Amino acid sequence: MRVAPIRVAWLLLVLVASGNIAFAQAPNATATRSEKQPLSVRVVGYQIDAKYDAVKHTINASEVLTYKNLTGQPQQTFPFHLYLNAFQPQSTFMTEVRLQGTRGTGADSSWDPKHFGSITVSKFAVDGAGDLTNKMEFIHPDDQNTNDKTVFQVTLPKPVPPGASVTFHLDFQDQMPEVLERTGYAHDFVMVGQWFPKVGVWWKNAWNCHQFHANTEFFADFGTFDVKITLPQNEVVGAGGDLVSTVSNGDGTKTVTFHSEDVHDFSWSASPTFTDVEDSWTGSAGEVKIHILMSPGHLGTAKRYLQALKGTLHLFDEWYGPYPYDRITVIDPPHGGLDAGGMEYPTLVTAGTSWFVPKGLLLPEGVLEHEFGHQYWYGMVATNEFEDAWLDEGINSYTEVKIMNELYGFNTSVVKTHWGTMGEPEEQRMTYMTRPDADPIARFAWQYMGSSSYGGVTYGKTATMLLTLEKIIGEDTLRRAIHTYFMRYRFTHPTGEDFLKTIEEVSGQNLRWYFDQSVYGTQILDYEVLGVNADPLNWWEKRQSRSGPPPGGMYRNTVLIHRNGDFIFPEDIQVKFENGETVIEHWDGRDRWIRYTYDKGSKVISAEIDPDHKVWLDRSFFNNSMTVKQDTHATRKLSDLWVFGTECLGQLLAWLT
Amino acid sequence: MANGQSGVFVGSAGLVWRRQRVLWWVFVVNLILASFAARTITSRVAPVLNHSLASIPLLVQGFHVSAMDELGGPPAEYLTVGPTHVYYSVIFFFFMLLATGGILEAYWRDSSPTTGEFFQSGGNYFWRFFRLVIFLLLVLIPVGIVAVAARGIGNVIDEKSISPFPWVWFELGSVLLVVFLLMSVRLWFDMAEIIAVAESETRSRKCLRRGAKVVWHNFGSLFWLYFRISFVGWLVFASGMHFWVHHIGHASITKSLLVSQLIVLFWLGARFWQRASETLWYKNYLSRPESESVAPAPSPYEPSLVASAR
Repeated sequence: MRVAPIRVAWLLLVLVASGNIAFAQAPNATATRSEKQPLSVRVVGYQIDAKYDAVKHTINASEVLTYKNLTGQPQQTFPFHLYLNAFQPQSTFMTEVRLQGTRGTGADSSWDPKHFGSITVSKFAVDGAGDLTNKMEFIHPDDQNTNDKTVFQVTLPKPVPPGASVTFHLDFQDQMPEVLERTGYAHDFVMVGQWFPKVGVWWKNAWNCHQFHANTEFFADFGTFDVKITLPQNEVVGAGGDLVSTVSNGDGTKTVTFHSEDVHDFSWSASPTFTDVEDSWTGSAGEVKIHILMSPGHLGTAKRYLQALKGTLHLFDEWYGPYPYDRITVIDPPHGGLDAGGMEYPTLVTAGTSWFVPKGLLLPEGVLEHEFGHQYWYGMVATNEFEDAWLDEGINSYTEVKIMNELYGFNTSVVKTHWGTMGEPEEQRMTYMTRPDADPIARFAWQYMGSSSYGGVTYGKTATMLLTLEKIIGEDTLRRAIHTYFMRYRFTHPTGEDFLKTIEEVSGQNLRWYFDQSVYGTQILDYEVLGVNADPLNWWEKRQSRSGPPPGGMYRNTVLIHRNGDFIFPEDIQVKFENGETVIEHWDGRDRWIRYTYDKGSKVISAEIDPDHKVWLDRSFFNNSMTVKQDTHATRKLSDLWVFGTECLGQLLAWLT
Repeated sequence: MANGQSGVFVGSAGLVWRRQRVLWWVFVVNLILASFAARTITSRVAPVLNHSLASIPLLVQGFHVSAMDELGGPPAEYLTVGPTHVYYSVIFFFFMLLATGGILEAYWRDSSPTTGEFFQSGGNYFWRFFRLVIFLLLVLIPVGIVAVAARGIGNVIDEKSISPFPWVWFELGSVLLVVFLLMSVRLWFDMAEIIAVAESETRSRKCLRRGAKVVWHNFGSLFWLYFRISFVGWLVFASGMHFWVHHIGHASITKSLLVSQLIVLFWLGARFWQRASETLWYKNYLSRPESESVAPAPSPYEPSLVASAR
């Protein structure tokens, strides 16, 4: 790891590059990547020339988009996303935020004019068709909100034949908002995401170009990006592309040029106060250059970021498939800019930390692991985040569990302190428990009951559902299935069924009964031990003594199991007896209850559902077992803590006397 | 002066030790009240935990945050027990209001009162000290305003700087300022209470005026005394918590309870030590000739403990 303070970087770069100044990414010496076989079917080619005004936080840009019609049919109407228009009070996005909140913003939040963002297309021309600016019309495919301007479409004078290409020329102006929802500025930091007009995706034999919603993310086709950004000379830039050149313009600005291919988006970030922490990692697909752009006051976390990132790269490479890009850039948003954190773009992710995060709280590690995981689940396996959010967020939350557990311990991968611990599986299950039965996993992201249901189900329930699936098909089989899914569907747009069928295929099992309930249903899984009892078999005969064996020396032991929820799941039940004997029962879980009876010379002491603790979907772990003899340790512990807390509160109040 | 203060610092610790009965009394009352407060939660969680195998690995052998979340979360919300603990804390507050007179009498006289004497003294001073609490709350309003203003300035600094540290340092400074103000106010009111006991002064405002004069003219020595004992108290509290968290196993329920109660006891002891030190300091102060300019001679119409102390 090399930490290059920006002043040192300045000096070195001025000396070496004679006019080329501060940039975060060194020009890529292996500029022959485009000569390699493309990894994806390249539908789009974007060339953007942008000028950033760091004072007004505006971008003036021209865009040349070449679209290759691989839809198999003539195309005359093309829809485009204008995501930045979501940051206006009457947009669908803000209307939904006001109603239900979203990440970082609560419901009923007031409108802050600084959060205004916009993107205006001032020119729209097409090769061979001329200026079609006046043909642009805003459309609202998801609702009837005519005030929403996040999608527009243009109908060309004549259709583009199958296999042919069409080139669009657009001029547009961005007004970046003060940072919210992944994008915008904070002080002199700016995170520029979803900032250019982006064409929709022809998918399932129709255009897929949804409006921007409070709970939705993005969907786009693969292609190439050649982006020039002109901005003040002192800015340190990180972007989702290889740095091709940096040219000083002699007027206090510089122009940095990036190239990226086999990706479906391009984002960038800049700040004069970034410190670039550089490193590299070599995996099965070659060397990956790492740039972590740290904000002031956060440098202490850089080592933690790096350790988490390298560990994640290694395990993804080993378990799921190679990381084929030669770079990964991590943006650490500054103090006050955390709303830009925790977001993924192709080959660029934003993390999140603070000036002080105790080592035992693995939040920076968890966020970075999660966002890097999206390079696979969203970046390469480019699922539709509007309609199948669980395929990126949910699968990614599951792989986050597996990787964080491997790197930081099963019970300690979120909180690892002397006073308490928490592991990733528990965290995901906790998230799921916030609103477990409102929505099925397979639901369009903007159609969830609210942001807590969206978060709890899309992230938490999917991860918990996959963890529970390990009990049915085995952890290794599920890992192989996910590996197969990645290798088969990378650089494509698979559906939820593609994922589920891959699991069935690799496991060789029909899992519809499970997926129907857990993915397409809202049933709650909750089995409980309702009773554990030992009764003398000859109960009518008088005993010799109270503590001695019963007449005949035999007991009728009964264990009563009850299905609380509607989710039907086969369960193992472990029954233990006084003499050390253990019996494992397998119940298909279909009936509402089942009673097991054992006539034995020994008394039952406990019964436990899911003794291996693998059914993470179970709503309550505490009712999964019952002992005949009570153990008051846990109650005493909680009670003692309550006593201590109350005494402290009393003494604080008594300070007034 | 330094020797005198050192004598007060150590001597007052001895005073607390000699009259430890009052300390134990208060500690036991707090413990009993807190135990009552905990009964609600015990009755709610016991049916869930006492017969569950999950309770031991999750809460006893390792304290899992998620297990607490499951207990406290929907649908059952076993840890939601209402403000019972607040009610019992308020009862303790009133008990302390009643007991403070007895405690100060015990330290002023350096004698162990009987239970009857203790509560008789408490009863004698109860309304006086109640009025002082009202005055204290009024005085705390400007302190609260300072705290709110500091928070507002902190937010402005926070918004203006890309680095977190200007805000961090400002917040630290403002917290220290507020703590200093709170300690100073408490010192003033402690002294007013001691004057009320030492001079059988029934007029609260007069106690406050005299207390203010005494503290104003001797602020350095008194604050240093108060601060040192506070510091010892914080140190013991922090060390106790550290020991509890790092050296007491999760499964050691009895040891855990013992350590937690020792922490509470030492915290209470530190507060009593402050009371004793202020009392002793005031005794020494009255014996100094220059003190006459500040402390008026005892009224011939009021039977004074000061007179007997002299």
